[in-house]
Amino acid sequence: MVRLVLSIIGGIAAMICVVVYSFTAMSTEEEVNGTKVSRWWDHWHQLHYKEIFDSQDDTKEWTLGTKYGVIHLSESKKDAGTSHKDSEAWDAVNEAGDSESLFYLLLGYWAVVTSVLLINHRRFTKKNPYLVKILLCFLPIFLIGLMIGIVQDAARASERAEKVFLELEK
Amino acid sequence: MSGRFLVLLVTVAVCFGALYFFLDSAHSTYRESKEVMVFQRQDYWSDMSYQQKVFIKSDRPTEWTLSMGKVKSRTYEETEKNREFLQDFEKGLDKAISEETEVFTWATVVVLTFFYVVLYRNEWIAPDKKFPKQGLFIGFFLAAYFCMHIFQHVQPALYAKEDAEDAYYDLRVGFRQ
Repeated sequence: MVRLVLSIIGGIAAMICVVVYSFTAMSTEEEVNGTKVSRWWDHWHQLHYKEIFDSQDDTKEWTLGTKYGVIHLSESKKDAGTSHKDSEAWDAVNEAGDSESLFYLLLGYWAVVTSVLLINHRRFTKKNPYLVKILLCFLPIFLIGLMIGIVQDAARASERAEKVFLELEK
Repeated sequence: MSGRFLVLLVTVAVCFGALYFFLDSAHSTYRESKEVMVFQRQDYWSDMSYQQKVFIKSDRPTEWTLSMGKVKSRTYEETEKNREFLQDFEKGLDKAISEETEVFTWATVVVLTFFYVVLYRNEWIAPDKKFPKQGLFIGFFLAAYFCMHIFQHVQPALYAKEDAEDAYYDLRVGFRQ
């Protein structure tokens, strides 16, 4: 019983770590003296997007980084006809980053559930002789499928961000 | 390693490998030349696609080649006037592909799960006299859950496809070249 409780507590703690990492590694937001700095990342495709909003004089600067380079734009340039591009770039980087964090969440969930099952193998097998076998086989089928979809979503979003970058370079 | 488990392992690997390459071939990015970058998207379900040529560090406008079903593909140069329609087409197609990715993924999971349940039917359906209905109940629950998810993605995919079609016809009527 102690082993079961400890493994479940350990599993919950591990999941909390994964969730915290997923939420903080892909985007951050900080506010200093009326200036709000927001950042988004997609580590897989080397994308990042940074937005600095100064609420005192209502100016906005944003930076888009891809594997092709980094582009930096201020509000004056934005007024010259690139205003729709900031939301496009943000949207693409955000979607790619979200997909990445979802991937880590699923991977963490898989690792935690598998560990709990293996640690308490004997106890579960006593209750139902086939439960562990069924779950150990079913989890990969279920999770790998979802992960493939997530990887593809991230890849498409990153291509969108790269396209925005190339268009902005003009 | 039992023969049954090996069969399951190979089937899962082959199906997911095929799914990955199928989904991966629906989009591509490549550099055609030093100045031209090409972005492609293909929606197999509704047979729509676009190819976008971005001319790097050049004033030449982006070139779009759109195609839909058996209709001959058309090429448009992006201008202030047609930009909105082109972007609507792009957004619609991207959304449709994204939703269909989910549908194909869930459908593969359903097929593999069904295969797995059939392969391990003795364990799932009637483990022993003590737990006769457990596996059957879990099986029905999973089937209902998967079907709900597939339906959840089919509907937005159809709507997105219609949006892309609308944008395509608007473009053809208003901006024929």
